[in-house]
Amino acid sequence: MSQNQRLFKELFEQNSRKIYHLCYGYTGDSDSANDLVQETFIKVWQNLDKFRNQSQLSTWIYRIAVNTCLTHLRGEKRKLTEELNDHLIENYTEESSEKQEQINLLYKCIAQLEENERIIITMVLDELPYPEIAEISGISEGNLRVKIHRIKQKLASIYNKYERF
Amino acid sequence: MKDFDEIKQLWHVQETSAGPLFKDVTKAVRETGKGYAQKLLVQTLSVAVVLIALLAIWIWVPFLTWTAHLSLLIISVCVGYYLTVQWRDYQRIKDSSALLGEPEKYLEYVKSYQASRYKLNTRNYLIYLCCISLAIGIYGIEMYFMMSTVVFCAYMAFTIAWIAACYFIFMKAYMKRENQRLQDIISQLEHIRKQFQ
Repeated sequence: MSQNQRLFKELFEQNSRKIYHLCYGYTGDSDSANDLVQETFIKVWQNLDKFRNQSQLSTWIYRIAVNTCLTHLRGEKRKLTEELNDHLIENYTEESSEKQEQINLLYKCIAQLEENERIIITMVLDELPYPEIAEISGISEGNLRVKIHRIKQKLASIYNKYERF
Repeated sequence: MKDFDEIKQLWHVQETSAGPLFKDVTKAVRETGKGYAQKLLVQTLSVAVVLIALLAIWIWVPFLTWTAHLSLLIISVCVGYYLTVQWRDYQRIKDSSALLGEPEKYLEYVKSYQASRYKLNTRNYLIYLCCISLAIGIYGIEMYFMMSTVVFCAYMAFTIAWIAACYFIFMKAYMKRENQRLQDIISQLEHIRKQFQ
């Protein structure tokens, strides 16, 4: 295995789970999320040389994932958002536990947010430091803190509204 | 009622086995690499073969009129232009520096790329079509001296019908479809880009 391949494997193992969460949160669909993760890592591999000397490799991977997500849905976007809720529920009916249902509900709530809000909140949920989120999303840290505060409130409000029913 | 921190706990208990496997990703990487190289090779070779054939015809076939030479010159320039555009777009796709940029700037880049593709597929293609048609038309002068009147008239009628069909039917429909598609993409990109401002 070459040095590049070893580095790539390491990057995949360290970041793929979080990137999958980001993609799943954005699309609300596991197949699309898988495709996006794959597309992201293909781009990571193609740009591996440009990553050298970067202090935060994960930041660059996230940025590729974010840009890949943002330009992914295009024509399918509207249709997907409408079908999302049913799909998420149907997806797990066989093995649904109370916890799993709550997780499905959480994804359903994330799907109600705006595109950039979905991206930011999945990074917050994955506990990325705020300066890193700011760098990935290209938003100033001050502005980001305000945005995150609003998104947290919005998400909690949507979640509690659904949980009551 | 749950607050955000309670909701956050849920996030961390979700299954971690989901997502593609490393072997699937490396397989996709290999296939993509082959795909890019093959596509570029096939396209470049095809255009190069056409260009060589044109030049061979130009050199080896003794033409009677200077208009035949002009016709071949126009077609060669058109094919050369196509080759240049293909190469430039490949380089642009290969250069992924925009992909590593901030989302707002990346979306702006995608928007400008889509707009330039639209210009290429509509306005530039129209100019390309006109030039090819002109070249085929003026080649008719050479044909006039080589063919019987009936065959020449059939050639000219076919050429005019082909040009008219390309412009009034195919081109108009294509431009309408492309414009609609572009507007959809740009409005979506704009919608998302504004969220990052």
